[in-house]
Amino acid sequence: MPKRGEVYALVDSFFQEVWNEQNDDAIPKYISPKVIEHGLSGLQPLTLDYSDFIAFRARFLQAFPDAKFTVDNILVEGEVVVVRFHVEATHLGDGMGFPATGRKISFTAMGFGIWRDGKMIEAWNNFDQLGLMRQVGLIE
Amino acid sequence: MNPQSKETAVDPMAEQTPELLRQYTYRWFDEVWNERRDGAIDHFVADPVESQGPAPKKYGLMRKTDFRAWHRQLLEAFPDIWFEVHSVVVDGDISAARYSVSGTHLGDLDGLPASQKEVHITGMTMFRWRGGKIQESWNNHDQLGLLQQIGFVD
Repeated sequence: MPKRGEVYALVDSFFQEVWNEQNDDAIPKYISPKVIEHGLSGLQPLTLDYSDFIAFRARFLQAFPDAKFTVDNILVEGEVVVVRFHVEATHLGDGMGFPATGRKISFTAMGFGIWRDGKMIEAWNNFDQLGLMRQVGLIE
Repeated sequence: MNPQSKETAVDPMAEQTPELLRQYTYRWFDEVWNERRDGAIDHFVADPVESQGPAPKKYGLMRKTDFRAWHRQLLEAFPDIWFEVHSVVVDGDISAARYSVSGTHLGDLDGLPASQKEVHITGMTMFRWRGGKIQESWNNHDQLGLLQQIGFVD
């Protein structure tokens, strides 16, 4: 079980390997086989297995293949980790369900996660979805 | 002096323990928002305070008077606004809260006329504290959901 001081590096590596390096093999390193993901307002939480997570990430990376995740701050208290981060990318694919625009986009995000024995078991997220929709021209 | 302000006074010299910052974080939502105590703003908000909304790199250096004005505006738009804080994490001089917020859109909001609709969204705020006051805050809340629920966006 990682010590508190090690959790910061663990979470940093998660973003680097799973998202920036787009490494499929790294997923089981950081995420438990069943993760409870609390989505957007009003939606029921989903239990994701690795194939669900890979599919979700694939849709995102298809739309934003050069996505760069930058971790701005990590808080750790007991099993709860809070990450503040931002994403910069070019909108090159239709993967998110709307046509590619070729535009450069960026958005901020925050996540609360429960990490047990070095793996994420539950997560909540809020990100600037409105800002993203405006940047890709779907909303005024 | 507002007697309620005396109750909520914070000691700027008190050591910012996790317990203290957790208490202040809950009090922020309870007193400034749920109890609508304008006086509590003086105890928790530094002047100026750096407040970042969801848009990246969009820092607002707000004077306390600006924050007060925005607080008043939001309370007029959603007079029954209610924050339920689900989780507070404290690490050093920073706390973060995960919350749900609800309210009825009964007043104009940023030029959006009152829709009478009930809104319920989630959000997260991170605060940097010094001397018992918020020096810097970062916000991510479901603005898209808010606009959808009031009918401004499909």
